[in-house]
Amino acid sequence: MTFVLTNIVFSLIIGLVLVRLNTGGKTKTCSNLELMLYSLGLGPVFTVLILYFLLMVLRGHSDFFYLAAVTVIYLVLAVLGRKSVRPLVQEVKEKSIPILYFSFLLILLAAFIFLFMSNTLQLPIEGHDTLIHGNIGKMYYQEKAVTYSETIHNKQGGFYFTGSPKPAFSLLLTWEMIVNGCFSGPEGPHVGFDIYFRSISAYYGLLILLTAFLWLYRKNRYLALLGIVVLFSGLKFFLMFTGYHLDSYRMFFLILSWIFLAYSLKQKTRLSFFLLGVFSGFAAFIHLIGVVAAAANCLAFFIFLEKPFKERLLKTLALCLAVLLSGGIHYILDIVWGAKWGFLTYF
Amino acid sequence: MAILILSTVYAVIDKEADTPLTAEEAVEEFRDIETPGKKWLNGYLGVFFRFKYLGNINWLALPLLVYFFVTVRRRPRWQMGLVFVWCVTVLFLVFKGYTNFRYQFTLFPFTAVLVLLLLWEFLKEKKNVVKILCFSLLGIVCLYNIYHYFERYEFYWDIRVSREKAHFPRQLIDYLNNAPDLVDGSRRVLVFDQPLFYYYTGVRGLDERSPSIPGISKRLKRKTGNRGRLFNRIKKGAAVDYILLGSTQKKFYRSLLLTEFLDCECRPVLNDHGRFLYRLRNKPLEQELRSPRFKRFKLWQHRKKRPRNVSPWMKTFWRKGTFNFDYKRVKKKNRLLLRNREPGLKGIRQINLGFELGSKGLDMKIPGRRYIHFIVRASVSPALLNRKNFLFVSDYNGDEKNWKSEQIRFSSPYRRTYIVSHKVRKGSKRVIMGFRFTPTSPGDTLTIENARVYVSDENL
Repeated sequence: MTFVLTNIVFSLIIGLVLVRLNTGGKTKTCSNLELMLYSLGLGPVFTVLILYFLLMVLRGHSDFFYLAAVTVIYLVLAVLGRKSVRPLVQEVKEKSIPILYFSFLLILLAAFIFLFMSNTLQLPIEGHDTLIHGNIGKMYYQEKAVTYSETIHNKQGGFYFTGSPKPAFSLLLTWEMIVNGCFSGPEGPHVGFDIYFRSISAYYGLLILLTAFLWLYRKNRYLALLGIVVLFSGLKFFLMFTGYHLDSYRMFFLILSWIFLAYSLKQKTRLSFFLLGVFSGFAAFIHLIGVVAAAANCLAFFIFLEKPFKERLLKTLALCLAVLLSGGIHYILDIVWGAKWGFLTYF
Repeated sequence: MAILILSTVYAVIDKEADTPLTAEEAVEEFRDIETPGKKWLNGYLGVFFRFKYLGNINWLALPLLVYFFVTVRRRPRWQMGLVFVWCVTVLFLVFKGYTNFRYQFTLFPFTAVLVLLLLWEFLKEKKNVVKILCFSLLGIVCLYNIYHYFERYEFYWDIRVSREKAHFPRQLIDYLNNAPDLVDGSRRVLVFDQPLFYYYTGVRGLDERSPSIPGISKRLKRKTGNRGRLFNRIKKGAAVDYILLGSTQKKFYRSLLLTEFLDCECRPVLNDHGRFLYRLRNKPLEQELRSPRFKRFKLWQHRKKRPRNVSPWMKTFWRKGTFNFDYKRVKKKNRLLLRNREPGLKGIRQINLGFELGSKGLDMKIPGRRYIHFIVRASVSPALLNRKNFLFVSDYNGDEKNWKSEQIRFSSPYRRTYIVSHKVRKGSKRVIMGFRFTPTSPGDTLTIENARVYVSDENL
């Protein structure tokens, strides 16, 4: 339920808005199908970003309140994006799809989904780091608040942690528990209450694979197949599909931020500039390496944009603001009220 | 050239360390950076050469990067921007992320795809046959990497896909979620870095680092200490009845007071896939032993002013080598320091000594079908914490015509209380208890500070 709502419905709504922004400008930043592919990853992260601000500002409300608040925002976005359906369908119809080639890939995909759902996803989370993130997500749910302090201590259950967790991954579990709380009643802890949380690693792994496939397919369809082999020749890539961690979640937005850095330096469209800020912010929101990448993106944008100095400076400041609003603000709050410079722990 | 590079890298990164590892090196071995070659290839340059986790074509980005810098003036700004951010991230990972392949993995998909795209651009003007040949070779090289590390793929497949070797401590979770005294919230579990406890159970826990139990964690991680006082602080002060820790903590804290506390003041409840749950006794051990259920025989006499007479019942069962028996009186307690006098490092030296019921004046009947608890306070040289040095209780059964033993290895170079409990079989003719001391160097020492034996119907 949470998966369909967040990863499909919410992602499609964001995708339609982005398509409208893409087709509304003087020049298109990229193809609409490409945007829709990227938007499949936006539902979860944008939802938790909204939840993050809600839990900071409006604390202690019921599950239904947060679900309703997030849904209202998406309804507004759906209204904005409603006119994008037709151009999108048109673009799909214009594409020629080699049936045999894609049938083979669809069979592989179906086999993976079957194995994943029937076997891998049945395993409970056991990894230390993911359990820490999960416990923090549970704590956010129990307290219905995101707060900052030097250490994390849940007095109710006793969970204690010295470190600086980045909230984006933990909030996915919080969101799942909120949705479950609305539809199936409050669940006590048991092995199996976090199935959506567990699916994130493989989901974003698939999105990374699809993004790589897209870029290689544009050159040559067989190069794209080789790309799949190359990626799976790294054991860690295989583990990403069979484990539960935030690696694919953080990497997806890092990769997108670099794609849109290239677009914004090359095409200089407003959408590319906006998405550069948003994806850099999301990358930072999820992990410390994302902060480094976001800072590097802003610096690269300033150095390599072919515009007068003043315009470059103003645009870079606007970019930094977009990064902050898309999740980078967490680090400022953490420095002031939280773990101070302890946010430099990885995790 | 490529084959030379690949074979050299495989040779370096697959090489195991030759010499035994220190604790720090064992951590590095876990991270695959325990040799200097591995530290460079898997560590600092792991983004390019950590073949096991990141495939074996990322290193092609290096010559492409050189080509880029040589032709940088012809490059469009967006390419310069991309290379800039990529280089910044690589440098960050080289200095701050070299120990962990997860961080190096960040760049893997982007780098691998970039290598393929740039190779395609490089070969764009060539004939199709050349392109097919080059990319086919690349594919074979990648498939070779899967073949080379296939065992690891199989290992994780068995755990996470076929689930044949899945390991989750379900029994532990079920126990904790159903233990009446935990479920009603009256008692707590002292938890040593086990986040699954908080994730899967609804019972109250107390993290060992929590500020609400000041000093307890510090005391448990000392070399020695007052167990009784600590017991009261944990049980009464903190309302804790259970202790939960993992095999990593058990190994890490093996020599410290925590292990002695677990062995003496707690009873093991469960060991489930590397998680150990202990339950604190109702009373401290020394108080429990004073109850009428335990019949005591003192084997060590501290009141003797001549330390040499501290244990007249002790005998040597077997000896090979030369040993020194030194007796000392320290703070009104008599100690035996058994020292290896055999010179050099070669040859076996070993001694079994201890006590035998009904022998050398030890007037104790063999308690058939009852428990013998041999409780000793002792320490041993640091290099002897191995399976050749232990305490034991054994009984010889006349009907079965065999010896049956319980053993506990020395686990700390510091003075520690050890308990060896053994149920004596019906019809056993002999019961012995004592120490196996197998030194390896001149000067290796076994120090015995106290020894007692208890007999009871129940296990400790």
